[in-house]
Formats: sequence, structure tokens, C-alpha cells
Amino acid sequence: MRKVILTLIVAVGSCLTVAAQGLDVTHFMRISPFQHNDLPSSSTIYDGYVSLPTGNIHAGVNLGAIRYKNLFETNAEGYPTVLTATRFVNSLSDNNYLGVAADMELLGFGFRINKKSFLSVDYRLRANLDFKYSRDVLGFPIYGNMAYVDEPADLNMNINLTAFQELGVSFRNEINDKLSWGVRPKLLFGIANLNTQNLTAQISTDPTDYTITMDYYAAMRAAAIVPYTMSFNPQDGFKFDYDADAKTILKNAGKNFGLGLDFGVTFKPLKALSVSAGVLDLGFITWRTSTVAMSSYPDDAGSMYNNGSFTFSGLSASQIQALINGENISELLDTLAQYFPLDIAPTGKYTTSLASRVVLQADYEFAKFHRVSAAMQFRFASHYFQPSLTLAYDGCFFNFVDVCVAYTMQRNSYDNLGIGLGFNLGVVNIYAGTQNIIAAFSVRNASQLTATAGIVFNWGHYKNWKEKYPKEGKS
Amino acid sequence: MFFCIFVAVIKYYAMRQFYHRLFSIVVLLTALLFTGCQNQNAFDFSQLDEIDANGDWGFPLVNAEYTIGDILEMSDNSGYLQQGSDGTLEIRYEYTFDSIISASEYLDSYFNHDISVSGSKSFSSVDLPPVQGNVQLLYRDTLTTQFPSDKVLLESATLKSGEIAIHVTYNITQPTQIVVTCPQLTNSNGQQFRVEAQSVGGSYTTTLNLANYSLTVPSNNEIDIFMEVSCNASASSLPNELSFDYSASFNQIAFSEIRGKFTAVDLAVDKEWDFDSQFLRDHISGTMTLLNPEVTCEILNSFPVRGTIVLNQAQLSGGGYSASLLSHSPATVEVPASTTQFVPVNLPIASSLLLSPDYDHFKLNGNAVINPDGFSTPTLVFRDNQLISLRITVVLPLEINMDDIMFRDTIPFGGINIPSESAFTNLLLRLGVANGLPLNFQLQAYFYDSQTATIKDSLFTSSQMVLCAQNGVPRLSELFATKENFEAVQRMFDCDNIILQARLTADEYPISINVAQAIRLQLSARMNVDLNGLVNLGN
Repeated sequence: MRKVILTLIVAVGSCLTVAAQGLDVTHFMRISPFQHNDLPSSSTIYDGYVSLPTGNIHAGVNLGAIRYKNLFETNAEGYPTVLTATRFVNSLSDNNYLGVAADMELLGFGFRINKKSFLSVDYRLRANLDFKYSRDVLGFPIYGNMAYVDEPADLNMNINLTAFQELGVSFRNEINDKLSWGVRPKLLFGIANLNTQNLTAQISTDPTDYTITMDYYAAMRAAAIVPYTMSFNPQDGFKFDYDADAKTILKNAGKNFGLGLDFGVTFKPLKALSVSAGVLDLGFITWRTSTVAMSSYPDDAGSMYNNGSFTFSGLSASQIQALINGENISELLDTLAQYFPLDIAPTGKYTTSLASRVVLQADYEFAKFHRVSAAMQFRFASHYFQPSLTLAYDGCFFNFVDVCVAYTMQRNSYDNLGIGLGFNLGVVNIYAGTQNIIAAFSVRNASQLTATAGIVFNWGHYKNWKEKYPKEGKS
Repeated sequence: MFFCIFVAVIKYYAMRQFYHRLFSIVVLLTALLFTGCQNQNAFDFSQLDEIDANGDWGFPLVNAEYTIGDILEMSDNSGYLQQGSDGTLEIRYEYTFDSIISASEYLDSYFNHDISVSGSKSFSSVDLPPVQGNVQLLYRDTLTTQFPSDKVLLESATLKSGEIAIHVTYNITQPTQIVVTCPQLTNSNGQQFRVEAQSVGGSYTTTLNLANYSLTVPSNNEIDIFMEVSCNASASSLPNELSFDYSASFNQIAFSEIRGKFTAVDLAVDKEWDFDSQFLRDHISGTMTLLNPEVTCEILNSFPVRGTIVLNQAQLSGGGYSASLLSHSPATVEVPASTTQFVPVNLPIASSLLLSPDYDHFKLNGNAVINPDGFSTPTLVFRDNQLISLRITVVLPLEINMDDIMFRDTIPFGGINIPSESAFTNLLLRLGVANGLPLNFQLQAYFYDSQTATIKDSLFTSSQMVLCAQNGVPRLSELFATKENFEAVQRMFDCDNIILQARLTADEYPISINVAQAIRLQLSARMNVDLNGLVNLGN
């Protein structure tokens, strides 16, 4: 058990190096050439850049309401000694979210076409996991079913795991001094997908005789460029097999085709103030390789089936007699398993949409090289709406050091203070940041565990800054 | 790291401009970020050994309906508890006395002593007529004897066994011819009984088997045996005074058939039957009064004449209790003549019966009279395979008044080990009983350890009442048992038997138990489950 917990914690902890679904702190760093990733109309200080696989590595986890301090009780030395499951469940909201995102630019470059326009191309690997779950998913096994005699336990989960390749071409243009726009069409190539259409169960318990009634419906789809087979039957159990043949994988790599689009606009009513709006990841992927549909719902396998529900009110006389006559308990369980069939079958192509985002942002440069920003992001994950608000300060020092401090609030997560630090050493730009510095000080209170880092080659920012700040080109 | 902090602090004071001071602050914070100030032990789970989770769980365990018929099918293999035609549960005792009266016994005992007859003769040889230089001796005599006539006036009979012994002595030394005949006795070939012998030495003795001989008796049960002695010898060889002694005796005579007229045959009836009442004895104690018992008496009489049975006793008994099936005694049963199958006869039956589960014995006692009209009945034929059989069927519908009935059952149990001693607390067992029987149950279950022959615990702190059905509609009673901790639960599980005990009462009497009446049991358990007991983090 300890291993399981340890593995879970380590898995979560490993994501300390990455960024979550909120706007990343590096988005607000002007020294970064990747601001257009979250706002296509953003300007850049560079004339051009080249990004290799180390250019932009970005990942993170949003734990939602999960807190270490709620999960564990520690002793004086800080060792966790008690897994406080009840306290943890008490701390959850009715609906909870766990998100994981990973994003790595394998290759990218950009250059200024003219004074007004900038073009960039990037090829990225992206993966997103959105996991929504109701409190009762964990509350039911912890509280016990008798905690749900007044209202049924609502076990509701939604999982959307998508990994894909993204090839995007970004174009930004300044119409005039006040208005600029940007667009970024993208070709998408799906790698793997697990998508729940429905994963719900209502479990009610009769307060008098404890009869348990369960309604549930599970429907999932999966696809991958790696050929695989899945099957299930009560006798043989669940079987999974795959064929990791490189040729087949490469052949499938382009089959799960999709399209995406980012676009945005920036308006500068004042010289120091700009407001921007952007729509990101508007798109879809059609999955065609190794598509499998899984579904399960109560089957009419006998007397425990009641109008679409499974009702267990105790062993019947015949079942008791069978046990007395020597029938093994496993045979009885096999009989019960017939009420819960799991159908797994190949299915045709299906389409999933990307988790689209809308970003509204305002930037105010209150002094040279120092600006504050406020950004709202609305993320439409599958079956889950994630609003977030970020307030950021970004400052450039000595013309080569960029420091950013950001505060982000999200649903069930209000303690995210991020820091980013970048060094522009000539043509080499080294930067790193986290959306939640508190996690570094006190992981026990952290809900966002993120980081972004990269080394990118760029040029032209000294010249552009001199043009922007003609009297004080160098600080 | 400390160097960074030192530099940041120095620069803070060295820098004059606000933004440069701000930079120093940011550097300081950044330095702190990368120092990993968090507790390094936070992810060391070596001391994690407890889960704080105590769930409240309730499970239905049993939801089973058992009809009385189901229960009987499962537990009674005695066959005495059966379903009546109207569904009423009834106790049925049925037994056939194959032969309460047997003609063979009567016929065998009819001649229970031997009968014999003898004669003698003396005369002078001088008077014998001469024949060719010798004298001719020829003597004939008839011996007449009589079978007993007080019970039977014989017309004919067939002997199953027996013998006739003939003995002749005389004082002649010359060879002598002896002939004994009995025309009333014929063998199976129709030949009359006849014995011829050449005797020398003054005596002649023979014994002959009379099995399968037929006997014809013209009147008075008399039978004539004819003796003839002859001799041809010189006069000088004969003594002057001749003397003959002769006898015939019928020994060990038994008949397979008798035709004649009979007196009334009076025979004792004394039959008993032991039966297995283990099921009732194991489950019920006390007595109850059964109303309207049905007792059927059937008789098969192969005698050619009617009879009468006078029963003094028809009684169930056992365990110190007894109950007579008869409303009064002696009770007379008329037996019709010559039936080829069992025919019912009337018995005066008691209107109620005290029933004890300990009954295991049935006794029938009285007298049977065959041919009660005696000699006035025309000629009859009694054969040794004739008999009177009697079948008694006692049907006791469970329409009862109970005196003080206790039901009990012992259910094998045990072998259950709770996986962890701290996993379960505050166990609450709920037993919902929808009782369709007209019986109240004062219920208790005891956990019995046969190893130590002790009752370790009881399910309920005190016995619980399950209410009877009302107007035939099942009534739900809820029974609760609590066990505070694991020790109490394990104490139950350590036992190897559950003794289920219920005192049975009713709201109204009499009650009728029907096989369709049912009890629905809903057993459920509620408990606190401490995950610590199920998941051992220390391991």
C-alpha cells in the first residue's frame, strides 16, 4: 500500500517541473519568444528565433482540491505518519478536477517578415489529461455507503486523455500602432486518446434494510497509433495486447488527423496599455487507428436486475442453499458479475475536440521594462469549465534578466504564486518558471505543481528595445 | 544558495534605484525557490502506518423467503410431515399390520394334541377253519376315532403335515399278513390310504407321513381305520389261545385347509410399531393439542366369513406421553368377509389429540372374532393363507392448540476468521422477519462451542419477539443485535454451532399451519469499518 501511495505522490511530484492548464508564468515574460503560444496577437521583441527540442518544455499538474496537508498528518520531523483519508475527502468539493498537461516543442523557428509582421512555425508534442471526478468517488469508499442513505452517492468521473502532434504556423501583424492581430492554424496528428462519454454511477442504500441499488452507465472510447487489442469476459478477465511495430506506428502517425486554430487581437488604447483577446485550441481530431468502444451498464441477468438498475437486497434462498450445498463463493461472484457486462469492441472513427481556451488580457507598462498584466482564461475541458485569473508583474533588468511574478486563482486553487526567471545571453535565452512557487516552499499546501523551462536561440531584441526606448536603450 | 542570498542582501543595500532594489528582492526569492526549502521528509513514507478512515457500512446479507414446504424439504427426511390436500401441513403416520389374524395360526393350533385309537382280540385257534391241511386265520376290526368337535365340524380337510403310527402285536410265530386301510384318507393321487405288511415275530409297527392327504369326514368328525390280520399255518404251530393288540394314532396333524362348520374363532390382537420421530424430537419440545385428527382404519379380510375386532387400545406413546386415537374403548370394528383389497372400516376417533414430538411407538391391542355366528354359519372353508390385515393411517393436520412449544434447530457454523481484529466495530445486525405464520416466535440464537460444550454468546441480549401474521397477512418484525467490538464478534465466530431457539405462541387458537405460509428473512449488517484494520500500511 505504501508503494502505491508513494508511486502516486512521486508521479504527482514529478510534475513539479511543469505547468498547469492556467496561463503559464512564462507567458508574461517578454524575454520569452513563445508568448504567441497563449496569445497569437502578442508582440515579440525578437527579430527571429530558433527552438530545438530543449527550446520549450512545459508541463504541469493541477491537483484541484488535492492537498498534501489534507492527505497526510506529519510528525515533528515532518515525516507523514497518518493518511488522513476522511479529512482529505472532507476537503473536496462536490466536483473536482485533476489536470495534467505536457507540452514540448520539438522544433520551431520564427522571423520577422517586416516591421509589422512576424511568422513562426513550430512542431510540438502535446498531451493533456483532464480528469473530473465527484467527491463521492472517493467519499463512498471512505465514508461508507451508510453516509448516503438520504441521497444516493453520485460517482461521476470524466476522463479525457489526449496526446497529439501539432504543427502550427503563426502569423502576427500590426495593423497600426494601436491594433494588431495574430492567427495560428494548426495541423494535428493524434497519438492516443482515451475519452469517456459517460462514467457515472448512483448508489443508494435503503436506510432500513440496507438494500443497495446501483444505476450506472459507462461508455468510453480509445484510440492509439500503436495497434492493440482489448477484450473482456468474466471467465478470462481483461486482456490487453499491443504490437509495437515501428513501421505500423509510423504509418499510423498521420492517420488521426485534425485541425486547430488559435487567433487573437490586441488593442493598445494607450501607449502603456494594451488589451488582448485570444481563442486557442479551437479544433478537433478525428481518431481512426485502433479505435475501440467500451461500454457497460446493468444487464438483465436475473432477479437482481430491476428496471435498469442492479439491486442487491441479500442472498436469496436458492443462493444460500447453493452455498450450503458446497457451491464456491467464487461461483456466486461469477453469477453476480453477469449483471455487470463490459462490452469492448472495435468501433469506427470518432472525433474529439480540443480543450479550447479563451484568453482576455490587459497589460500595463507602468515603467520602462516593468509591466503588470491581468489575464483571464476560460478553458473548456471536456465536461468541465475552468476559469482562471492571473495577475502578473514582469520586469527586465540589465537588459538581459527577466523576472516575472504571477498570482493565479482558479476554482479550488487560490494560492498559486508563480515566479519566472530568464537570462538572455546574447543569442541564447535561458528561462525557467513555475506557476506556483509555494509548492517549492510547502508542497503540503500546493494545488498547482508546474514548471516551464527552455533554451532558445534568438536575435534582434537589443535593436528592438533601443527602438522602443530610444533614450535609454540600455538599462 | 547562501552566497546568492548574501549577494542579494548586499546588492539591496548597495543599489540606490528602486528597480534595482526590486531586482534584489526577486533574486532573493528566486534563490529561496531553488534551495528547496520544503521539508525533505514530506515524501518519505517509511513512517506512514495509519489510515484515518472509519466508514459506516451497511450490507444486506440475506433476503430469502422460505415457505413451510421449503423448510420441510430442506430439513425433514422422515416423511411424517406432509402436505395435505388443502395445503395444510399434517403429520402422517401410516402403518400396515400385515397379519393381525392368520388362519394358519388357527389351523396349526386346531389339533394341538395327538389322537389315537386301539383295540385287542383273543380267541381259540381250535375254531379256525382248515384249509388244505392248515388252518386259515383272518381277523378284521374297525377302529373309529374322532377329531375334536368343539370348534369345527369337519366335512373335509387337507393335511399340511402329520403322520399316522400303526402298531400291531400278536402271539403267532408264523408269518402274518397285516393290512390297514382308511378309505377317508386319500393321497394326492386319489388313492385311499392302505398299508399291507408281512409280519414275522409277533409285532408290527409303522409310521406313515400324511402330508397332502385329504380327509373326508362324513359326520361327527369320526374317522374309521380298518385292521386286517391273516395267517395260513398248521394248526399245531399255532398256540391254542390267539391274541392281538393293535393301535393307530394321528400325530402332529396340521391342516392346510378345513371345510366344515366352525364355532366363532376368538383370537387376541396385540401389535406394536416403533417409528422414527427424530426430526420432531430434534426440533420441537413440549406438547400441543391437535384438533380433528383423522384416523383411517382399513381391513383386508381374506377369510370367507365376516368378523369383529374389538380394540381396547390404539395409542401413540413416547417420552412419557401417550394419546389414544379412540374416542372410547373398547371399540368394535366390523370386518366384512372375503375382501380382495383394503376396505375402510369405522373407528370411533378422538376429536383431539395430545401430540408430543417424543411419540415413537404405536400400540394396537384387542380381540378379533372370526365367524361370530358360529355353527349356524353354513359350511366354510378355512385355508392356511387366509388372514386379516389392518392398515392404520393417522393424519394429524396441524390445526393445533399449543401448550408450551419450543422450536429449536442446530445449524453448523464457524470457521470464520475476521481478517483483522480492529477492522470492525459497532456491528449492528438487523433481522427483518415478515412472518406469514400464525405463530409468534420468541426468538434467540445461541452460539455453541462443541469443543468445550459451552454456549459462548447469544445473538440478542434477550430473546426477541417475531409477531405472527394478522388475518393471514405477514407482519414485519425488526430484530436488532449489537456487538460492540471485534472480540464480541469473534467470540461468536469461534463457535461451531448456532442453536436457534424459539418459543412458539399464537394470538388466537386454534391455528392452522399451511405449507404455503412463508417467512421472509432480511438479514443485514451495519458496522464501522476501520481501514486500518484492512490495510496494513506498516507492511
